[in-house]
Amino acid sequence: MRLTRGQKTLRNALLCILLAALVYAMLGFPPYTVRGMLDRVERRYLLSDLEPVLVERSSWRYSGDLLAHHTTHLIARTGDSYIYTEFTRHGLEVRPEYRRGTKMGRDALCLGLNGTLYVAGDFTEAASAAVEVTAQRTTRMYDPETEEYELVTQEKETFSYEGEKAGDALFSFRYREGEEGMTSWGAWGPYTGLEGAAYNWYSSYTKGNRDGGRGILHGDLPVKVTLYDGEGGVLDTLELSIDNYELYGNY
Amino acid sequence: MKIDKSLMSGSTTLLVLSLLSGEEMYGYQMITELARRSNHVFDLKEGTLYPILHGLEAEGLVSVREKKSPEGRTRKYYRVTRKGRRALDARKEEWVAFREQVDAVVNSASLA
Amino acid sequence: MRSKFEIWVDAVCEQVRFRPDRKAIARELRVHYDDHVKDLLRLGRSQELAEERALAAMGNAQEVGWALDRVHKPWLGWLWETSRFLALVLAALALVTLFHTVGWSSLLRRTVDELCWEEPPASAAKVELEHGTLYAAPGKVTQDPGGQAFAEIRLWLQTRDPLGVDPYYSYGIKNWFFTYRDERGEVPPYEADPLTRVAPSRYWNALGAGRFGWTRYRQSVELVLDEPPRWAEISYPLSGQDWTLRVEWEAES
Repeated sequence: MRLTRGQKTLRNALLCILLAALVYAMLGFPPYTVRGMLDRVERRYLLSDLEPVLVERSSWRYSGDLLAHHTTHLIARTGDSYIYTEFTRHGLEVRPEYRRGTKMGRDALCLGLNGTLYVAGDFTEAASAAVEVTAQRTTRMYDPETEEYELVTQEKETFSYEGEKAGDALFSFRYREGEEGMTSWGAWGPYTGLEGAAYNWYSSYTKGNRDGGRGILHGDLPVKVTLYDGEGGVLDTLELSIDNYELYGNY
Repeated sequence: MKIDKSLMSGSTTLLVLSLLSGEEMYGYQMITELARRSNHVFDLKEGTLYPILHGLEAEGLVSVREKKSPEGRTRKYYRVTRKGRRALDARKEEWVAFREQVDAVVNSASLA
Repeated sequence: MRSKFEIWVDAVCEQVRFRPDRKAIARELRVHYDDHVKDLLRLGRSQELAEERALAAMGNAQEVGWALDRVHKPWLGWLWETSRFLALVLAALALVTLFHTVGWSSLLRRTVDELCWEEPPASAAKVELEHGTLYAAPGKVTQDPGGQAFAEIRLWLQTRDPLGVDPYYSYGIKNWFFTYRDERGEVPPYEADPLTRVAPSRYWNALGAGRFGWTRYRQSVELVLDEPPRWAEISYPLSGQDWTLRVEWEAES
């Protein structure tokens, strides 16, 4: 059976639709829009009516990557619950929770992202906010002979930042000092301030390990947010915490 | 006798389809066949055959394939499709009805 | 010098706006013309006369060109070319995706998981949520001699729409942010002590890979406790939803 040009066009169009659907299914119906991502999060975490609070995008590459990775960081809320999650697109593929895990919080949630600390909550009445993050030098030594861990805690330092209001539900606090980004030799730059403390102060060593390998210990840093009204009176304070891994680097 | 061009134009589709209804043919073959069957009355400008053929192909009334002829030239051969055959039958009926009406008018006029 | 016929053919083709068709049209007309010339030569005409007669028989180049242009509609031509190109690109993309780790395995695995679905027992506790229904039922309880007790909670989730695939979640859905408690209080998620790296005595843990279909999910959670529990409750306070699923183990007598 020979087809006319019009019929061939129609056949090709149908074939295209079929193939596109197949590809989309094989990729797992990836979401490409913020709404699509939120729908996915809703079903994945059994939530409903999520509304976006923060949408932050970044692009990055592994060395040798032909296509860049595009990460969309999202904070969304439903009622007084907040959720942070992230989707990373590479070509047509979209991977959820590729760089970071999902976090959930009731009443408030904080997130460290590329030199900025975001705090989400119901801030309709707050005109301004300040944050205090406390870091403590913490070292864990492992002794392979006794198979015991020794934890040494040393000095504490509190870093304070003024917030910038970004909508009814978000304050952002810029804590990166000095140059944006990292040194020319990669992602492990000489951090300063809070970023430096988060990176340099939390360490784990193995006794007798002569190559000096330092592991970066996970540590929860207390985050104290003070909310002010228009006249500078204190409205409320929030006690949160953040993992040091979120505070340094640019991922 | 040559036929007026305007009389030809409406019936070329019918002519082309009936020519092809017997066997598959290439363009030049159709021109010679048409001339032979009509005693050289139908003098179709040969170039205009191709827009007609391509139009019929676009409508799906004829199909085309490339074939090497016995003397080694690659030619496009046309043949009537099933849809084309149905269209031919319909055109034939139309033509017969048309001819009868024309005859009736013309004959009554000559009698008067 | 180009022959008069070549000039004629060019004049015809110039009228055809859909350029990709021009070559085939020119070829067909040329074959026709050559046939005619050969016929006339066979009848004893001179080469010159034969060419002249054959060309004259072809008709007016512009008229033929216009008529061909009407049939070779450029919009349809380009639409067709585009559809062909797109179909090819998509076919290549489908192949790449198929042989990529994602496509084939996830399509197959998720379909298998969707089909290998065992209904939750009628006695299972359930809660209707916006996107689906969550079921919980008690599983096995075992106890180390003189040590920890392990209580399995079996969870099923059936969603209305397919949950998009996460091909990279090879271990299914583990980390819902549920809160678990038994008669002795809340059971926290597993987290080793940063100092001693010793596991807490009471914690919950995802058990096994679970099943991860398109709309049907199965996952077991294990409570690791000091003593076998009589009951356990699952709730989701972080989400602001106030439902509780309760599973009870029958006391061994």
